[in-house]
Amino acid sequence: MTTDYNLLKIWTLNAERVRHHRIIRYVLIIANLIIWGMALLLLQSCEPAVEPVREFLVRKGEYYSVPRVSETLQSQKLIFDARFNESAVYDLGDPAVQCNKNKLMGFCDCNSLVHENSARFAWQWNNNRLEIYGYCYANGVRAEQFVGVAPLNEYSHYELEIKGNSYVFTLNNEAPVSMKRGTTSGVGFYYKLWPYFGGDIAAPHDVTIDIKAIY
Amino acid sequence: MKKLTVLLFEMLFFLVVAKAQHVWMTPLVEKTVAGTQYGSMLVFRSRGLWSFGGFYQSTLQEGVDGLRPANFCGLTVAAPLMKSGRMNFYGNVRAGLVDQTFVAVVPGLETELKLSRKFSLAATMSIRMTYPSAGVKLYIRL
Repeated sequence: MTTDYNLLKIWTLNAERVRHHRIIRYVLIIANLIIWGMALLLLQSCEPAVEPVREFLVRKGEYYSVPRVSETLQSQKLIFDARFNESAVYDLGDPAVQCNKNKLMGFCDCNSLVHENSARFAWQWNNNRLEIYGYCYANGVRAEQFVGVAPLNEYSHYELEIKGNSYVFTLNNEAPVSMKRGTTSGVGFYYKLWPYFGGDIAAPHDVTIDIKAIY
Repeated sequence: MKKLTVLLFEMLFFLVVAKAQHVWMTPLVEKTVAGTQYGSMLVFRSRGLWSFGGFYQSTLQEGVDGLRPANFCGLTVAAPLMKSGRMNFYGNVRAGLVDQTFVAVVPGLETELKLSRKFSLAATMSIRMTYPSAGVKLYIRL
């Protein structure tokens, strides 16, 4: 009786084990098929694996844009194309506030916070045009410099390069603008910074910006 | 602090080597949003199929707008998520420096098909620069 019971127990355990192995095998076959399929699909095309275009939206009354993206810079040059539309036109009433710089894109320098060492392209709607600026913090000191004018509803080409002790801003084919860089350690994380409205005043209406990163 | 880090790394390294069952050399190709990279890895694989090692990969072609070819080197760890005979499924992380300056951490999934005792073929899916990347590796047992 005990032997029969033991045999039954062993048989049940073995059946359980076989079923468990079978499930693992099926899961592995499915995982293999999915990953091999996706890998081959991405590898076989000559084009880049994905088209890195994102539409950023700053909602009325907000400062930060969505989607929120967490990414680090992995090159000496940050290159992207950006397109503004009519939503970039705004009137805040006060000329002093109108000149507040909205941020487009840039990065925090090596392991620094944004208000310590960073470089970004900034923009403002002023004099009936979209003005683009270089906007930097170097050792906590803020500096801004006019770079050029960007048209609406067209992609403009932006380049921001780390060159020794300076940042070099270039918009389309205009003359590059160089700005001072702070002291940093060199090796580390360079967090990318994404569109932000303000300044002091939040977005007066929804603002959308298309950004196509170039790697 | 630096000496302590080196000491800890060496302890881990020798522990891994001591427990390693085999050393694998792995040529690889990876397609990322920034272009296709080629390189190789040298990994120690334990009996439990944990892998530790180093890797180096580089972009061969010139990038757009004068972006020079980037290299990416560092350390890699892979943990088995599921194992069964000829197929294994791993979660892996690569961490290192791009162009000796920019720290990058790349999580990924890997599926391995054993071709023979000496060779395995693996497909990987990772997240590079927030975009998916795909790669193929050939594991060669040394």
